[in-house]
Amino acid sequence: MKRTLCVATLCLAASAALAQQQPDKVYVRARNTPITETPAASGKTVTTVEPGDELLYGGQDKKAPKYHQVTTPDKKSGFVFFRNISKTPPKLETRAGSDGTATELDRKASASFGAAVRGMTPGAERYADKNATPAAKAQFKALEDLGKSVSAEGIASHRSSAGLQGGGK
Amino acid sequence: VNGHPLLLASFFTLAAASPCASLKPPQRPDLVRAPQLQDARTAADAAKKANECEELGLREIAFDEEQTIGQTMALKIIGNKGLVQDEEATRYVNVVGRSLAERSERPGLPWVFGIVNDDKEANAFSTPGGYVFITTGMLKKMENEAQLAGVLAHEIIHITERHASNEYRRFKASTCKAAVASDVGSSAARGFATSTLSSALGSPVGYIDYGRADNTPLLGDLTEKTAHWLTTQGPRDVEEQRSDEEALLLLISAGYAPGEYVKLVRSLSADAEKKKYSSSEERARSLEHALKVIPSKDPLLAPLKPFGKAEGFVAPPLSRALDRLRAR
Repeated sequence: MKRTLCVATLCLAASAALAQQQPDKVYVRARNTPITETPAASGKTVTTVEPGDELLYGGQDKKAPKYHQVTTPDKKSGFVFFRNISKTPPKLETRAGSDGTATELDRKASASFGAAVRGMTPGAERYADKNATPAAKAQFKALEDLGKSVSAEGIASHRSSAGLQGGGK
Repeated sequence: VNGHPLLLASFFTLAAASPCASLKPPQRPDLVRAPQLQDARTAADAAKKANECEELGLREIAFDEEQTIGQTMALKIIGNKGLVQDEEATRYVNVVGRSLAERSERPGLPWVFGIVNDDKEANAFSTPGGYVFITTGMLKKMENEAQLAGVLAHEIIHITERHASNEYRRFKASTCKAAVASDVGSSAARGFATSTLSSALGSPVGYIDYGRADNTPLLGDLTEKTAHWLTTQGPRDVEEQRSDEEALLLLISAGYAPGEYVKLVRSLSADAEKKKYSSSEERARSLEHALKVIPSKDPLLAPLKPFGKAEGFVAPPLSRALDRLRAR
């Protein structure tokens, strides 16, 4: 009797720990992440989601454990590949106005504002003119231009040819 | 935070001292009361400002300030070593780096990855706002793309965790305190103009507008201090360890075999690792342990160990352009 009680208590503790571990929500961490009807890369795409999007978590698929069941805020359900989600939300970015005011970007904007702010800031430009050699400034600008020209399509194409796609599409 | 009590102590000593007090003739108490009150007010005001400076260092900076300091530090790194002028190889490093960064906790930063001309030192650096640099010496140690991704992921984590930004905030606070404590401080301390200080103190993010020309000397001083810290001391042991462990998660998320990063770390010479928190072997062992416990920490990853080829984690070959560069 004592042993049964002990095992039951242990089971309860273990399931409680598991329940604690399982998140209620998960966050998208890869661009163009497909949510598929079935837990497979070949599954029909229900919708695509973007970094920072919040999804309701429905648990791991038992037969295909690399896939997790999720539901979007507009009630579209399906499966997502494990690499494309995280239990940690992306950090929120804060922008400052020239008068010192601060604006916290929402999750979506925080995940995508970078393209609009590429390039040397006026402060760094003035610093470079005073402290850096023309060669260093030119190299920095060329690197920034190269960074600007790296596209989402170029990254996706590389991932595909390097065999990094997995079930993530 | 190190050094703040000492700075405060110096400040209070200076503020409390009355210059040449012993040489002054004795005065009637009713005549000295007013200057004494003025001194006390000045001391109280200076103490208040020193506390405000301390508080300024605690405010997490906005992206805009982070980007400027990151760019000026990057300019210093480029100025010291020079970038490799190989567009194909640099583009490849950017593609690999961006593929990782977009899965990080700060996917929206304008990430840029550069290759620094330095065959002697196997190293990598990062500066706030999304700038990552890897030396040619480090590239020569690598066998595959998963190892390159591991080093870039480690630097990406330094940025997402704001390790250098936090150091910059500490320098900002100490420079601010030096400026309010003394009229005869360094030119950089004087560069912390009263108007800059009051607007930074009035900003919830302690914002310094480096777009203003009169703040350029202050930017130069803080760049100098933060870049010096980065190249001589670098992140704390605990920050290095966290960057290593979080890099593993980033590699797993991107589909790279994380064991390849452990292998690279183990292969680095003691010289290359002199600035890291422990020896290559200790670091590798710590990474192996982290890899074992990751599944128990994250239910999304639990059934996927041991993160090898059979589970779909790969180590693609390095690009031909990078191979050409490594063979130089």
